[in-house]
Amino acid sequence: MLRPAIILAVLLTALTARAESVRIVTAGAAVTEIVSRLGLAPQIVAVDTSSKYLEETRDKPDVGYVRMLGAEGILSQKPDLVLVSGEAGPPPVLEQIRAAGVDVVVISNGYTLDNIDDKIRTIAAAAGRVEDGEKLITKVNADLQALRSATATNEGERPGVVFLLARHGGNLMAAGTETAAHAMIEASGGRNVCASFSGYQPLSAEIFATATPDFVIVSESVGGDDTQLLARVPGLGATPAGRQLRVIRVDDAAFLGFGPRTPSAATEVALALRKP
Amino acid sequence: MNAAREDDSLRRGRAHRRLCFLAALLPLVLLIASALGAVNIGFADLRNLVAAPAQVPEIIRAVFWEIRLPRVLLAALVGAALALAGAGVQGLFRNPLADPALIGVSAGAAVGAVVCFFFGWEGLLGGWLLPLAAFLGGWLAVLVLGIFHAGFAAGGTAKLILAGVALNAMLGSVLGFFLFSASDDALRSMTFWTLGSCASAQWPQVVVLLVFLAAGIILLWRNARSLDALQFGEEQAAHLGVSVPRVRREVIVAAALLVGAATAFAGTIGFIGLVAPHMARLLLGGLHRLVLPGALLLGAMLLVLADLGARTLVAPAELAVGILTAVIGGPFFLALLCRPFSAST
Repeated sequence: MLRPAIILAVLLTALTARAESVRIVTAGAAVTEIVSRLGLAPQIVAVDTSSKYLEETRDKPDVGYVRMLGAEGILSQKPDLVLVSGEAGPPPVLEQIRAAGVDVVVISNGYTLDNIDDKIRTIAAAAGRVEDGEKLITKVNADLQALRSATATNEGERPGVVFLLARHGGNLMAAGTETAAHAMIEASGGRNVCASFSGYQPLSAEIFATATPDFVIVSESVGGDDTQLLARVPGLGATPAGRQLRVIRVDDAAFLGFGPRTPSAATEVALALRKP
Repeated sequence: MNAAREDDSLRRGRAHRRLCFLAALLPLVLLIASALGAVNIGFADLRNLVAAPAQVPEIIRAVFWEIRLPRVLLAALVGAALALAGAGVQGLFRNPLADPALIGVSAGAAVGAVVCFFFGWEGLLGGWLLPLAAFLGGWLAVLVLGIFHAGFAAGGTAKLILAGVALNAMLGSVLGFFLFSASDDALRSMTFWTLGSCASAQWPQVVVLLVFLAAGIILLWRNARSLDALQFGEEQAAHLGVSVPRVRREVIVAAALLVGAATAFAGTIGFIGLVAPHMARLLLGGLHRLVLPGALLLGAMLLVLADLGARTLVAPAELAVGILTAVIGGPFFLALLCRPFSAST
């Protein structure tokens, strides 16, 4: 008599546990990273292409490029919650997902370190992990404090920095203003020597006639050693950065993502910029 | 003499039967495309959606009525519009290779639509300004082509295509400039405008497109016989009592209306306007009263199937539908290039 009751009880608990485990679809690398940091990686059922670099989400189904999501593709993963970054779209698709009765939370972007805590808070509230969220925020705030002390001692003139982005086909582009890289150069205590233009621009030798970088920052995924890298950019070899091979390699997902790992990535760069 | 007439009526009867077959095939294709997708609906649920909606889970109902059905219908209407525009432009220019996307009409329409987005006007006039702006862009593009056409009236097939290449390049750079200077929120991605997508389909768009399609059908249908006469050359057509300037005006407006509305909602989709009219001519012969409805039906089916591929092949992600139409259309275009031009006009 007792055995069926136990089986029933076990089944019921299993069922309620299942019901409680929210199925999440994320789009946008920083959003996915925060969700994983909150310990929710097992509940992520699909991610966008930009989130595939994360260890935890590498094998999850891919719902496509963050700006070209498909409503049905996402709904086919039967999510209870869809968390997307500000650039996710097209907007009608997000509306269609909402119309199908699924919660869609948009976490706005911004090239600033000041609202990472807001992002975490929004995501933690949406996923019902407020406590874990506050823990993560405490850690991020400590990292931000470390960044502040790392940049506080940078006195005198800020070192000139150029950020090189590798585009497909191996073309290198320099980051101007209104880019994540620009905001991060400033946050790390550097001065973007390419502040005369906005967005990412193809490199020409002329850029370095007026802009003289002391440091080059480049993604660690760019192949070749520093000498080879500098040789690829005409004009760069003659600058202080080129003559002394001052190249800083960064994990671009952390450095440009404005997610939980971004403050410590900035600190690393800030420390590197202090070396003579 | 008698035998020839009998032969002719036989051929026409066969063409009519084939047209009826195509008309019967379209609902079948629509049904299949509505049943298949990333979310599994299936034919049983499809029947229940109409017969017994309460038996169908709510999520399936939402997916079907708000996402899949408007999308399938939008794809059908866009395909029909592009194919009709292609048939009209090919007849007008007496050029079998005149695909609206290849000769720059779609790019013109895309520029019109992007300008509309750029200034944040896409919601004005209850959403009708967007397709109207795309219509204007497409219309200006055909007018420019018309200038060139007058210069090589003696059947310079290649020249029209080359003028289209130049026009495409110029409009592409205008498009790129607007997309580059716009903030990310104002505009959807470049992929949408260059490769097309039916992913953002919504009911209001279906309604607007239906109106534009109806206008295009009326304009082209009343010029169908004149287009037939035009195939012998403009002078001969004029001798047969056709007002060539009027035909030209009306067909150009029709093509621009059709391409404009299609591009405003689905971006630039290539090759449907080339492949569908050609298939129609192969199946039904050269008369425009047969080619136009045939192209409409074939274009609708082709794009519905291409979009079905776009949303299922890499599910849960999506492909740009233009990738698939180019896979079918590119080789088709090359095959046409290998044939002597006179044979297909």
